[in-house]
Amino acid sequence: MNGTLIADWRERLGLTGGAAALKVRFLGVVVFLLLLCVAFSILSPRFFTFDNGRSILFSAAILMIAAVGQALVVLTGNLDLSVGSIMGLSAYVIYDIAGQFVELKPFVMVMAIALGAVLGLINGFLVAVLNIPSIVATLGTLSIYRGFTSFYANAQEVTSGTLPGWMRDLATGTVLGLPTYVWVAVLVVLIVGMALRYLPWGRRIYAYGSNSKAAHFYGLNSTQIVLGSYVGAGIIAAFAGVLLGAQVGNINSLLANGYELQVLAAVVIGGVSIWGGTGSVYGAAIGAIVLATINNGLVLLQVQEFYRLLIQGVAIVLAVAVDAIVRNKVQSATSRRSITEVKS
Amino acid sequence: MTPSPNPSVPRLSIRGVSKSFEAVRALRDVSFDLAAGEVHALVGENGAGKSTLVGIITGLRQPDDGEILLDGKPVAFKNPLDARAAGVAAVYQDPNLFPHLSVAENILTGQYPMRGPFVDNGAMRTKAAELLEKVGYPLDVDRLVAGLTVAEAQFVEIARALSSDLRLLILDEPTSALTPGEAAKLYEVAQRLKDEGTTVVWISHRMEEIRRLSDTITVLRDGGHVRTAPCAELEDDEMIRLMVGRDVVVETVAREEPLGPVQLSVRGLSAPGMFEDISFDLHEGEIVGVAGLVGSGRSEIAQAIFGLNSHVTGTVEVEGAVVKPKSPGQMAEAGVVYLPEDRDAEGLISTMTVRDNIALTGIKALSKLGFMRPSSEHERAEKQRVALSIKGGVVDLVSSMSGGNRQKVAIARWLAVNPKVLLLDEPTHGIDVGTKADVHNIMRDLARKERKAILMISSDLPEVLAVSDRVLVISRGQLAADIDIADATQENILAAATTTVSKEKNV
Repeated sequence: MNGTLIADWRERLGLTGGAAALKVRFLGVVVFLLLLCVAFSILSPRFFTFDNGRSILFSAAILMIAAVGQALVVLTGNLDLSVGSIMGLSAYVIYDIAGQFVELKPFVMVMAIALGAVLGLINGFLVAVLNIPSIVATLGTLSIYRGFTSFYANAQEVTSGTLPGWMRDLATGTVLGLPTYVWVAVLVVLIVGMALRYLPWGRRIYAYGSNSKAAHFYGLNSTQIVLGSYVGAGIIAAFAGVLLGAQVGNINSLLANGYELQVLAAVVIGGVSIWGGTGSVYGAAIGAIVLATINNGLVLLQVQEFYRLLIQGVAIVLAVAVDAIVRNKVQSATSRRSITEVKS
Repeated sequence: MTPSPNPSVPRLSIRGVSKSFEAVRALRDVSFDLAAGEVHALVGENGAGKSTLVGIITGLRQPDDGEILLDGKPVAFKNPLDARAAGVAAVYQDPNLFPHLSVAENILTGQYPMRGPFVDNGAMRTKAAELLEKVGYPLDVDRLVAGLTVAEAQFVEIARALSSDLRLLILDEPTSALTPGEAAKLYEVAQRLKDEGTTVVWISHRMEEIRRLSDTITVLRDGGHVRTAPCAELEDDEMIRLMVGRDVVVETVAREEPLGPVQLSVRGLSAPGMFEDISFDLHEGEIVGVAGLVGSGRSEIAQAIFGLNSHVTGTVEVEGAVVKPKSPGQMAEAGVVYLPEDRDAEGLISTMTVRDNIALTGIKALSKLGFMRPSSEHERAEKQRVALSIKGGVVDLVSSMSGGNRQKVAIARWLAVNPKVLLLDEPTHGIDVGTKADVHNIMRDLARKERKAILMISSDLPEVLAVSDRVLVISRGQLAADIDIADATQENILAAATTTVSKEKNV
């Protein structure tokens, strides 16, 4: 019978119930990006060129990195709203130090990472140890970190002149025809992607996000897992902040203000479920490229700003709606309430 | 093979273990031994303390008192991973898998095979496949758990529990979601493990599989140890008597008032995977008890009648008129109300006052031109407070009240809309004995004086016998028995609840 044949085939590919829904989700982002590209190519002759592609990737690079960090936290079912503030704080403090102590050279990068780890640890402590809902905890640190930056900056700017030369070169340089930042972003995505797959640290993040109650029964340390994801996110955000600083040149205390919304949008569009447990940093990176593509294409079409916001908003809501449907499928597929003997 | 240094030393000794949750004593001074290489059945009613005991053995919970000896040495596991390392593992009744991860990852999370600092994915897949082979249920280890059937997921959990030196494996109702064929596979696994020297603790309500598998049976009741005996020495009747025979006396008051016409008529009610072909009538002035094991589909039936499940088929008639249950609001309007078992989470809004809770079901009736009228709200709440003798004032917060009083408020909330049919899910669960009697009297008054029709779901058999006029027994989603109260005994109810409808009764 045809029906059973198809069922058998679906079964073999693992395309039954919740599993199918999960697999289709990642493909969805890629298809969405391709559709965008096709649409813009038709609408604007200037879109489908190497130069424009390069410019999209360059403008997406830092967002990609920040989205990877955010993805770590979202995979555990939490949020990090303080990402923009961590970027701003790290960039300001690090470049201030780099300008004053030139002899530190690239060692300032290590300091940036350490600073990001501390800021992430504070977030993680609030969420994992004090059990404050992450949306509130990181909304608080969003303000605190930004406030600290303003206090530290005392209305001064760090100007591009005091930036270390190697940093400026990195921001403007190209390697093999692509901006250095794009390579850096790809590297970060790959490293974190591999870490999630090959380190127990990454596996536990997925496990905890998938079913935190089961994680407890498996004897996993929930506090450690959530702390770990926030520290990772903090480090990556600080790194992204330093890159952004070098790109912008003149750094004031409002650097990356409001960036968290872009980052969250990228992660969600990229298919990382806001409920945790599913999605990948590769998806998050593609989500960042989707946002950059929308911006780029609409600028080429000379469309007004509010259309850009409109389209971006629709993309976010669509992405979360799809996630909600997938989630329901997975839940009904794994619900143990079914009494199989009644069916047979 | 499992090391067993001295055959006379029990594999596991439970010595004087006690555990309380707040005021509830879940385990009271429980002591018994489990021998090496036996299948040990652990039986008892819902709430007898089986799951708590399992949690303590595997380190999920810490005992308040007492100790546990594994092969003669005292152990105190801090968490399930600790227990696993010592060769003690459990498969719990609740689903405890990661739906978004692969079968292999689910089996080996917490004990990843490593190559240096990295997880060795190849070894993980091989190891997972080996373990599945061992339980006789090979699966593609790359599949996501979200796509598995219930039985497949169950075997993944069992594979997970296996390790090379498994000394004690606890299976908590492992066959409750399996077909007979799948269950048979599991019996083989248990037999094989036993032959290898592992002690298997088998928690089950099914007489036939207890008889088939177990060497020893331990009966728990109300958190206490009742008896441990070789399987051959304990007859079925005796076992059931030990399980239910408690000395809590529940008062029975004979009904004198005649029953009225049919108020609620249910015909062929089915919901895929939950229950099938449920038909019964509920008369005016009648209390019908619904007995059955937890998970048999009792609550789901009541919820479906109350419009909480949109995938049901069959017909529901209220006062002779066909009503299609679509939403709780619509059913409440039709005169059918439902009180959920978990009243704190679902039945009440505990951060509001008694008055506000009671007013919530009648916001429309109590308002004028779209504004709530405080005076009529107060009046309505006061009336119910007096009628149900709720202790405390109507402006007290529900969260400050005792369990029994909260339940009264939950009932009052619905009585205020003057329903015809009340569906009560475990109305006395977690309520002390004194208030329990109060709630029983309220139910009797509602049925006999107020002429309501009441469907009462309860796991407390003495309560079912004391309050009901008729008992429906649900077993695995099907109506197993409809017994008039005159013929009902704890034994025949439990027997009906533990057999499968399609099969012959063998209890």
